[in-house]
Amino acid sequence: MEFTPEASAGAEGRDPAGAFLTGIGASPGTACGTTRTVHSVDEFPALTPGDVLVCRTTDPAWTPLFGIAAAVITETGGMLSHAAIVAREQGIPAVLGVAGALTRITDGTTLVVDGTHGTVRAKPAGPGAGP
Amino acid sequence: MSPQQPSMLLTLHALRLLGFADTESVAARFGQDPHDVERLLIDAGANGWASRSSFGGTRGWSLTVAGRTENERLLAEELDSVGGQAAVAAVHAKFAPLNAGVVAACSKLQLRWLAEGSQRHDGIDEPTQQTFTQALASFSGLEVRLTAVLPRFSGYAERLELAVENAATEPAWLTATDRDSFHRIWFELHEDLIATLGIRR
Repeated sequence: MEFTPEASAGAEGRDPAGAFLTGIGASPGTACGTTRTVHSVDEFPALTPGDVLVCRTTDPAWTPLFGIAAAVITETGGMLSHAAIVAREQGIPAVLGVAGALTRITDGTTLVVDGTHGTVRAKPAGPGAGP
Repeated sequence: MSPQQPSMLLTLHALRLLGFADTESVAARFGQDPHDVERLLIDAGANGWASRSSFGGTRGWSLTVAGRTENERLLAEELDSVGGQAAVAAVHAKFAPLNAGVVAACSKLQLRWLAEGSQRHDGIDEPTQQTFTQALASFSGLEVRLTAVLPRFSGYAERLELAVENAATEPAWLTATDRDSFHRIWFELHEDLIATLGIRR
């Protein structure tokens, strides 16, 4: 887990459900993938199939990304935003309205996005994980 | 759409609205000649305004950040040259509540389909259907006001009407991303309005 350090980033800073970040669950389902923080169209090529798209907002140019992303996290928007509608059409989880997502999520980390409950959490360690 | 004089403004703006598209699609968006548009896109690429790449197995063009900035400069110049600021801003103000109704209706439909796990040929309830038809009727009047100052806004109402017609037998035409659905057209229209006015999302 590689979030930008915050004063409350320890265990006590998490919400009761253990999520690191919460937002509006705008498109249901759960997906796990590597995060790609995308600030502009110039960074689109960085997103590869199965990645979790993390961005501020979207416009029509971003729609093709929803076709290859495993999930989407945005800083703005909500249940009734264009991004929510496009995510539901693509059948990918979306957690929208996550304040500071682009600064709080580090590019390249593995996260579980729960679009049903509006939570973002670290991938649980597997049984074969080292010490 | 009647043939347009080729221009960098229309070429960059088509890319802005389409996102990722091949030369033919960029040309078709504003009825420009594909050969002229190919030349303009190559010029745009040389200026760092557009880039050609492969995405999802297809080759196409997309706007760069610099291209977006140039697009906005040209749009502002265009709006200023026709004195259209007040007219487009007034339409945008009328569009906002229509947009709220349309995205709510799209979401309501999608959430119902998700909850029911239903097939999309179930039909649409009357109030939801009314939202789309009334939004179309309202926008048709607004399009007349828009095209009076900027003719390039023509065509949205016609496309929306076709989507509504198709949705009568296949409701996916309201929200799908794989066709010229009501929401896809509406999202593009929203982008066109705010881009023209220089409003940031």
